[in-house]
Amino acid sequence: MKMTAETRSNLARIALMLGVYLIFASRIPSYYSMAGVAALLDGAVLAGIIAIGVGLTMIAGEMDLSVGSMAAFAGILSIKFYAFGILPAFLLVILVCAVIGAIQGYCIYRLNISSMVFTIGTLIALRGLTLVISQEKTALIPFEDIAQTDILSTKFFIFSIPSIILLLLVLLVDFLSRRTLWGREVFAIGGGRSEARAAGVSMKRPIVLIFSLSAALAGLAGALLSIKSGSASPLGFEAVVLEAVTACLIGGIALSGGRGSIPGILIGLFTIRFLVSGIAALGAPFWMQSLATGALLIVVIIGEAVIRHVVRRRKFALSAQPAA
Amino acid sequence: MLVMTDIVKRYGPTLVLDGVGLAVKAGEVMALMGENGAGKSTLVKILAGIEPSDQGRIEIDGKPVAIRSPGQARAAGVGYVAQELSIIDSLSVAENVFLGDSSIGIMRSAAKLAEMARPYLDRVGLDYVDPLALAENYSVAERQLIEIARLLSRKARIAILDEPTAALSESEIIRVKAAVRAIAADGCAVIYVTHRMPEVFELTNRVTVLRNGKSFAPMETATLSIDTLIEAMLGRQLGKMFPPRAARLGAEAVRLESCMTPGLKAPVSLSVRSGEILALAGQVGSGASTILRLLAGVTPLGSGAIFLEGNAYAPKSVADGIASKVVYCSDDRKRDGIFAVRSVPENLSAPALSAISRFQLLSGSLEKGHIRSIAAKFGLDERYFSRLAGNLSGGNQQKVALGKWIGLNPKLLLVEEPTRGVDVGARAEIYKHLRELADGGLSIIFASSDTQEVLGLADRIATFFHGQLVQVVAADTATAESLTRDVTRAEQAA
Repeated sequence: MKMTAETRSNLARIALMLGVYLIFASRIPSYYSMAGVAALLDGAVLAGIIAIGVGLTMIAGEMDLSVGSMAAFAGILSIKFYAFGILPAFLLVILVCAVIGAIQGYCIYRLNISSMVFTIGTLIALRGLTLVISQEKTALIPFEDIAQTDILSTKFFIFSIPSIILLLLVLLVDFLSRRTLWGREVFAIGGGRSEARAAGVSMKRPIVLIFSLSAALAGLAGALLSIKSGSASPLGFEAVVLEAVTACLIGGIALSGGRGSIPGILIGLFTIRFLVSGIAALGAPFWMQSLATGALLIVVIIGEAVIRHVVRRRKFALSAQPAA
Repeated sequence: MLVMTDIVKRYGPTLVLDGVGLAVKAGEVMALMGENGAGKSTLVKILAGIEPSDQGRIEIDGKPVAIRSPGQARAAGVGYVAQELSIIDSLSVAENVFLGDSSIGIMRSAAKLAEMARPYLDRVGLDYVDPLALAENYSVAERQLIEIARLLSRKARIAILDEPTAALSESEIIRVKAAVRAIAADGCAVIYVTHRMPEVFELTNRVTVLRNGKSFAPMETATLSIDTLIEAMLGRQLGKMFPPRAARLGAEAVRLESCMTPGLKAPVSLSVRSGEILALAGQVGSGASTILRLLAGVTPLGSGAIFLEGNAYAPKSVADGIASKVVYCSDDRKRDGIFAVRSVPENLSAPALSAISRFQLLSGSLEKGHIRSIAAKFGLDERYFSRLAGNLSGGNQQKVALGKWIGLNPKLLLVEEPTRGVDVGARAEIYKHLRELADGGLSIIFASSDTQEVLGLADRIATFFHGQLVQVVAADTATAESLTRDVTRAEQAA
């Protein structure tokens, strides 16, 4: 069977991820251990859940930069709602965030402006709102209730509830994005906005959908982390959007939209995670981590550009031949 | 089946359609013909719900229908394949077939979708295409056929095809024609907009000609000759619009030897002398504008050689071209012709900033002199200097777009569609100024799909069809009929 360019690029990304893993696994024994793998999985939950949402907006040719503030907002909210019980707190937070995201998506559709511009606005505004509702203080779960949050840290084999949620979400959103009309519309408006419009695709539904989903996922991630640790700072989650976008780019989501897949995001994320925690485990100074992550992203981007260039040269050479 | 009557459409003060009618029967292929700007595209866009009409009635099967949006058009059974393709490269073929169609249900697996697309793809001759493969793997012609398959999947009873073969090769056109015959045989009423004579005679049952926003009664294709059809399309005589041709020409300025590049299907050799105006005549996709882009440095040279005043010239970028005093004015004025939100003087001096600077600082007095001299050469009134370029009329915008390059004292000026969107009065002025520049020793090559302009302005005419140079003729020996024959290949040209 002939391999498509897409399959080939996905295999290359998986190979890159395994390569990074093996390089560190040969040096660090804990990389093999169950506890080590479990810790890696848990470390990926926050950026992973958020990256699914950000990746969806990127596939649609948009970008949601507000997710960090959304997660912090959700963190404070989840502690406040904790009095209603752990599950109602989650559901309420996700609902509130989804509604805010849907309004944000509708504004972007209606005003027909760049989502980057709009979400920088909400990024700043939501941070302010978070400081207001938290009264600038770290929110804490009352000490007598804290025992209930242990459930989130319990391990089943190598999985915890948060990491199971991450993996289930990847499968679910991947299924929805490939199998449903709505998911196809998201890919369509990212692959060619004017072509999609000419084919009769409505812009409203996919744009409202992705921003609502992206906000809901950021809310879920913020609530998970905050309830698990029993506290939420109004200033938290500031850097997570960068890691999410980096994971998407390494995982093959095109910034120009239309291309990429949800499992790809997970591959990108684990490539970063293997690298970062490997460097940490080797005892390198903290700044080495961002240096290495940045270098990895740039290497991937250069690699993609070189491949594109070669493909274009080949096509050019073919089409510049006189017709026989 | 379809009857459109008294359709009126204005764009600002311009009357584009002035009481146009069109009637098409089921199972029939109706050609819609006319010169550029005759209103063909506007008429079909009204039927497709993309443009609202100002007046007029549309009846389908004897019942009046209101078509105000693409959705209403689709509900009325009208399918539209636009000139620009609406196929998304990064989606699969089957997904493209059903794109924008919510009636297929929310949940469909890729395999199910492929199975649903199969019969439509088979009907348009794409039986070998894998519905699961990405659309980018297929050629322009195949994507065109996917669009026709999409039209079938939506059960369109009236199919509009707007120049579906403009960018296709001879063998590919045969496939599109087969698909059109197939859908007409299924009882579809087909409206076929085209510039190409062979297709009209082979494919269509009747022809409706539009001229200057008016329609003529449909004619049976079988009773028509090429000459009567061309006459119906042109209809008017050349006025006193154009300046006299060059009295004497200088030495050879540019020579192309067997040049190949994507967009061409056979090597092209051409030459232009200094003081000469050469027209490249051809329809969309003919290769005429490709030559301009090649000389400008937008498209790289594949094989062959170009000589500029005897020296080898192979620009890798537009900046290379400018360094060799070759400048290019594209047909997309809004995008790369003017800085719409900057003032007229800033636009005029933009390419020549180093010439008007002293010690890297812009000099106000030098700039003033520079823009005055350009404005004088192009008859641009100084009272426009305080305006933003985007607020000028089309004619004055074009003067700015052309004039800014003249400030560089170029040797070769390349212009694509020199008077697109320019009114008649300003046209005559632009022609006059271009001729004056040529008389001053500048070589000008322009590409145009306007027959009158090509005949009136040029010294020589190179005609293009389908990526091939047809022939080069002296403009005073050419006629509107011979030119139209060449660029539509009404008969096999020598």
